[in-house]
Amino acid sequence: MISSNPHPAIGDTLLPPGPIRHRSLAEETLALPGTVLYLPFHLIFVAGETVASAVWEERILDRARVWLTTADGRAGIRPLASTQVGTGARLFYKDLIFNGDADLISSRGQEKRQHHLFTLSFPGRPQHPGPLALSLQFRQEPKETFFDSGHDTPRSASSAYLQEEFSFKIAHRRRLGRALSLNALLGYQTVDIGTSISQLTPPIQSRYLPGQLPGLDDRLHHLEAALLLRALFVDVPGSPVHGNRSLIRLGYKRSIDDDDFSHFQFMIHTEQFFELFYRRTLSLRLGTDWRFAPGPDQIPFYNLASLGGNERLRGYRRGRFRDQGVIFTAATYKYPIWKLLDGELFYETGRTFHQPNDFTLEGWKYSWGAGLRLWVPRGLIFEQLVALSAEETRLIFTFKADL
Amino acid sequence: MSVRVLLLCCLSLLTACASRLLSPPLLPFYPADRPIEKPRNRDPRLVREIIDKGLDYQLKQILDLPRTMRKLAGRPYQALDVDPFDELPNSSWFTNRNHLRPLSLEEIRRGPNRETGPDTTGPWQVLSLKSAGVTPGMTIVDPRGHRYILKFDPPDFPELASGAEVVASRLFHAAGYNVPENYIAYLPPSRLTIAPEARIKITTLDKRQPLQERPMTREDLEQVLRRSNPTGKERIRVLASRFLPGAPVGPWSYTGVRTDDVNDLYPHEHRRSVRGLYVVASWINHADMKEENTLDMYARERRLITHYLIDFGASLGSNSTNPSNPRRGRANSLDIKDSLLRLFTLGLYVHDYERAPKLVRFPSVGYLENDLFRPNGWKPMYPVPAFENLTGRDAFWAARIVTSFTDAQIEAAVSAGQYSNPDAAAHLARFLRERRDRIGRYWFARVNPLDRFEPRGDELRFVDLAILHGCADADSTRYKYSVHSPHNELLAEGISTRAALSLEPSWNHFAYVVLSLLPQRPNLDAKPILVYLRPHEGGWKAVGLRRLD
Repeated sequence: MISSNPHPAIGDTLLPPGPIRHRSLAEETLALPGTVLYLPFHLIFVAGETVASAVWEERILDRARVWLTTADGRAGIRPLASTQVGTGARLFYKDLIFNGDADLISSRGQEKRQHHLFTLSFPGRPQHPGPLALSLQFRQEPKETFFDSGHDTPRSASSAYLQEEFSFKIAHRRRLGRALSLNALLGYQTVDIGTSISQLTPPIQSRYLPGQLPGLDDRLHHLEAALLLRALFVDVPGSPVHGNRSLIRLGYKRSIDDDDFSHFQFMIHTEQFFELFYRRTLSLRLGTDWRFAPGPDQIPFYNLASLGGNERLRGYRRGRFRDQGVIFTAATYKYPIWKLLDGELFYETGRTFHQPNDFTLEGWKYSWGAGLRLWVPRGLIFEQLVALSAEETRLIFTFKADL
Repeated sequence: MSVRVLLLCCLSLLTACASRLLSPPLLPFYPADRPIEKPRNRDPRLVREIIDKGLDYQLKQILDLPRTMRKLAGRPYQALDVDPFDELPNSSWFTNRNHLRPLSLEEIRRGPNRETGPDTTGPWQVLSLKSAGVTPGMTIVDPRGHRYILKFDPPDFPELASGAEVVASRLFHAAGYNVPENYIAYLPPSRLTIAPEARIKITTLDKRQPLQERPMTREDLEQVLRRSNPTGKERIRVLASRFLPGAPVGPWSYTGVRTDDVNDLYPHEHRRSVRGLYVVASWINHADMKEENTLDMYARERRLITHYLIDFGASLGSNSTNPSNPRRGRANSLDIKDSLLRLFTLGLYVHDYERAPKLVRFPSVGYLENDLFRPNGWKPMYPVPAFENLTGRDAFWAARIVTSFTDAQIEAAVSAGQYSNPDAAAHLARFLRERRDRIGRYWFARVNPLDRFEPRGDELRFVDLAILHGCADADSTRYKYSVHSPHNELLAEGISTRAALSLEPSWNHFAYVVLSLLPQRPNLDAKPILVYLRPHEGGWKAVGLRRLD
């Protein structure tokens, strides 16, 4: 049913030359300054549209993923970046040998920092109880900092060193359930301490006399054995609202050439998530890391437990506050800003101890901060944090393109 | 001196305004029927639309000084395509239907449909398959040679998307919009045969490999059927949407005009049918208003474009693959305002849609709740510039359409959805009735709701839509009126207790008279309506109308 027009036209008029304007010339003129002001923003938005369209509609990242993978899908390369390791890539080759997958993660940061990790892992087959992984790692940190050991070491006591580390590990992973896994590893590690290239911080060799600092003078060779128990009982790994994730590590490093540097490690991290209201989440994290040297042995200074760094007190740089043991705790409040974008506020506090019976509630260090995190259900994609402490303000950036 | 000049300027402006109001509106009418060549195909991208309309266009509007000033002064830009009675003539965009002459229940049930659905006397040949995307589907041709798109319901929510699509299309059609013919059909999988020309395209993200095509096989077809019919029912309920007549030339935009169509004279954000769509879409909860859900069809014979709304599977209580949720209709998909509010309040501000429980009483009709519904606070998933230009007049025009639907008409539209559970259908009808009433109550309290002015003898009769639809009480309503000559001479004024005014014969020596009418009752915040009457054959004839809202 199509009704006739109830309000017939007053009279037909010749079609105008173009679209009807909704305002007068005077108003158009008045709008000109705004248009000029808007133009640069418009160009930014157009650029943003082009990028977003390329990612979403043209699937340029997916295409890049395909382009960075061989046609049979066996080999490929993926980018990675974070303030922790710099920028780099992961190179993989599936079924390289005996059904084993090879993986090379290689990154370089500022001032010759480099990490290289080559892993050869064998997937589980009926005759094997679980995957087996062989890994070779080379790590070079040209500007590591040592602030002396103890919980109140001044920042001015810092000295820089170059750490070169090479390790070979054999790991066996067994799933104990849907959310539990146990890793057992055996390995060999050698560490050499050299002179840092840092111009601002004095070299460690100038601050400590030979023999004064355990592990400074010799290239150390260790055999390592460790057990790792991981638990992941969270609802959404990318942005948990409920559940718990925990890690327990028991390890022993034995010096090959000199028994003086054998030591044990015991580490536990646990984080519990509570939904406060409507996906606003509070997570409480508790962790401790202890290194014990049996008898007359000593712990190399670079193997002491550390409080600072991106995993513990993020307002302090890695290596800050080292001793035989650290205890730390953190509270993080996470709230949704958009579907896959969360805001985050955190407060962390911790302390180093020389012996377990040194425990005291005084002198705890703390850091706090805020940030934004973009995630997908499988994991975090991007995180930008600002972490503050009594000593400095740190910007921490993480980007993971390969989920 | 300067103060005097300013005062004189103001006075002359006021005089100009007053004299403008004293003459009936003279709006040109442009017949949009000039044949055109087939326009090029538009292919808008959703992500561009979201950024463009959600960020770019918003900033442009904020920096548009005259527009902002007009908004602040309460004088926004009005729709351009209206006639002297502030009405919308029939066009390729809109046809005056139910609010003008109530459609019969059968007309509502039938909607735009010319057939009874795909011809079931023979096999349906499958031309193409849609296995990717939100919902699986296929294109078929029936024994009559008519082409249809078949869409399947999500297996966990039978009837959900197909029911929503059919009911929404009936309501949009009766409201006046152009929509496709949508049918509920029952498909025995054995009826499907593969057309000889049917091909499967193997798309790959890897441009190193050439685009591959191969003939469609029964296994390809079975795969799609298994996805949509995992339990292996003998007859699958499908939505059959008939191909629109003509050649598709892409979606229409919510801003600007189609530059390759000389008949497209009014910027779409200033078209009343597009602005008013806000109110109608809020009623039907058709939040998925991306440009991709509109379509321009070029008729080769008439060489004209017709503008359609398509794809209503995510309307009413449906979200295509699952029931809708409290957020839909309350926030844009990427809602900058909401996100900033949450960011800066550190998440302590909780939106009402976050608090609302997601109650789905009947899976076949989905999430249908009106508690959070605000007639002026409803939001589509993607910002629509035309909706941001909505004025009181546009809203009144659309609210009048929405409230023109009777309970029986709503039930007739719902019955077209062929829901197997009568309680679910009743629930959906109740949802639509409640929402319709809330729309009427809201807009008729903010815009002068007088309508249908009809001079009869020595009386001008009109209808108070708020009273007609039960949104206001007739006993507590008075109508304040005044009558002016073309020279602004006050001829009469007073207060009437009924919806009619006496017209003095002595006024007929004027070329026309101007009647100002304003209902007076509690909770009405409206401005007068000016009605222009001309002496005509011993009586009076309305020649124009101005709503001052």
